[in-house]
Amino acid sequence: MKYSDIEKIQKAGLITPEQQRQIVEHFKLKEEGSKFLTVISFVGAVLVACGIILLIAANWEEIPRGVKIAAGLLLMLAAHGGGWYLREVNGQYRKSGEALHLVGSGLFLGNIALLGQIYHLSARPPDAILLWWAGIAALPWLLRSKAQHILALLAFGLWFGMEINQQGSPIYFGEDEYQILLYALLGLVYVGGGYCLRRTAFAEFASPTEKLGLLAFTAASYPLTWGTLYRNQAGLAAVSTWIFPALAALAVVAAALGVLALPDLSRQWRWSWGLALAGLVGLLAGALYVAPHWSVSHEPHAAGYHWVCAGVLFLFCLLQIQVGVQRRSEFMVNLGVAFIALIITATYITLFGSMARTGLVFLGGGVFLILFGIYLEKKRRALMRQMKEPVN
Amino acid sequence: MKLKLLILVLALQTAWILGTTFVQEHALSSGKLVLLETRPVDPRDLLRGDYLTLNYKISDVALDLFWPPRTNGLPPGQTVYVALEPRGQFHQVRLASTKPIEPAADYVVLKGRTQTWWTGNARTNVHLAYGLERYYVREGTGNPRGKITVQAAVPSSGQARIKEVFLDGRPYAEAMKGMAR
Repeated sequence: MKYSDIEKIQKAGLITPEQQRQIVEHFKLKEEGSKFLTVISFVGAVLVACGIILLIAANWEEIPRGVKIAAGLLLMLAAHGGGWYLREVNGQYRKSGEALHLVGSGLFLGNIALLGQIYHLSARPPDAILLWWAGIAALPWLLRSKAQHILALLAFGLWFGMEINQQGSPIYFGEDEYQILLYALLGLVYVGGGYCLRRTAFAEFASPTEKLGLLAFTAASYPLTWGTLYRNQAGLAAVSTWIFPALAALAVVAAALGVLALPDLSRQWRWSWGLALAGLVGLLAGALYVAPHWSVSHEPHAAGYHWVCAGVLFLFCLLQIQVGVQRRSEFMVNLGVAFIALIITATYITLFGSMARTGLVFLGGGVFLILFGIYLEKKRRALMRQMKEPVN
Repeated sequence: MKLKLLILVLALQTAWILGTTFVQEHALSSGKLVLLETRPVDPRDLLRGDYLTLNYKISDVALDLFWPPRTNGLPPGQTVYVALEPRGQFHQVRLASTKPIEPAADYVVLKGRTQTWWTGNARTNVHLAYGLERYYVREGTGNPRGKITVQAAVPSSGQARIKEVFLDGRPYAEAMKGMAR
């Protein structure tokens, strides 16, 4: 069922405009016409911003620095001006206008980089990204732009990643794999934030925030299933001791506040999903505080914590698929299915050992993967069909 | 209202760009000039292009130059004040301290931060970064052959800026003209 079909039915007088609105809302139908323009506009915006940043990076010394700064500033203001005109004054090319605002936000980063290049500023690179984020953080709310919101979330994540790698920072977390635990927690903060946004006037920002958060949360938790993760324990002494518990507490509070008020889940599902998210925080805490001391052999990674992680994450993904079906979220179902396949692949590779064992694992695992792949795809298609069926 | 708020955000962004330009230009024009010896390598920054990583002789400060005297190193990220005095052609470290040093006529004071470093002896030296470690150059000219010296402007805040980089005594851009890879 397409948006344009419903529009045609309404124009033929078979349904009222109110019924049309109800059908569109119930089936979450979107206008197809603007999709192409949206994609083209945003790809164009990203290309323009990247092109300008690369031109800045080429560093043309023949151009006086005053001219470079003025050009950067004027381009940024012109991009926002053009964006405003197309969205608010003209009103016909709202997506193109939004793309131009996106170019403007990218150019603010370009200008920060330009000044850093001209004056050879090299102290604390994360500060430049924090400044960029601070400069654009108000724009999503002001312009009611999802693209700006996603950019701001990515900018914050980028700053966070750089800051926890910055020696001397209060949140420095070492330069080993343990930092993925913080990325996972940040993802969960986004998920909780997205759930909370559903009850505000900015409900349209909820979905991208949840999706980005859940993707970051699952992707950053996934390496816990690898047997080779726990090897750099020597660097633990110099890292921040408070950032993990503080971020974990924030993630649990955000997720709890958000999940308990999700309108599209029953009370039982809300509790199940909330406890699953909290359980994953516990798994992350275990990787940091328990696994390094949980040694059963000479090899640090042989302690077996990754087996626990593989099992727990597998169950989490199954639950995520069920919650996705309940919430009619294709993204949650697809993400869950993809990570189930990835977890099984990781477990399969981890089992490689002696030639005899590897040979058996290859045989057994290969057959299992082929059959499981077919089953998974069948199941995914069935779930998608189930979700698209109208609710009785 | 929405337009006014957008203008406010853009005005803040513009103010930062112009303010930073003013502060940097002021520091370059009013700071005391010092000449420093370096050893370069040739990496690239995704956003800002090719640059030289400059490692200075004054980057490694011996513990016996600290006041009050130190017997052990410092944690990363600690602020250190370093007094430089002219010795021959270049400026060298006279004194270092974790407490501010008042500038005087015969020396200038630089502000640096401690860093962990893979060369040098951490038991006898402290490695410092002064914010002078990167010099952005035109694309393809980050591969100099010759002796590099840096002229830095040091304002009263102690946060030095690179004013000019010389390759065998000639300004870098001029010396590398036509040598882009």
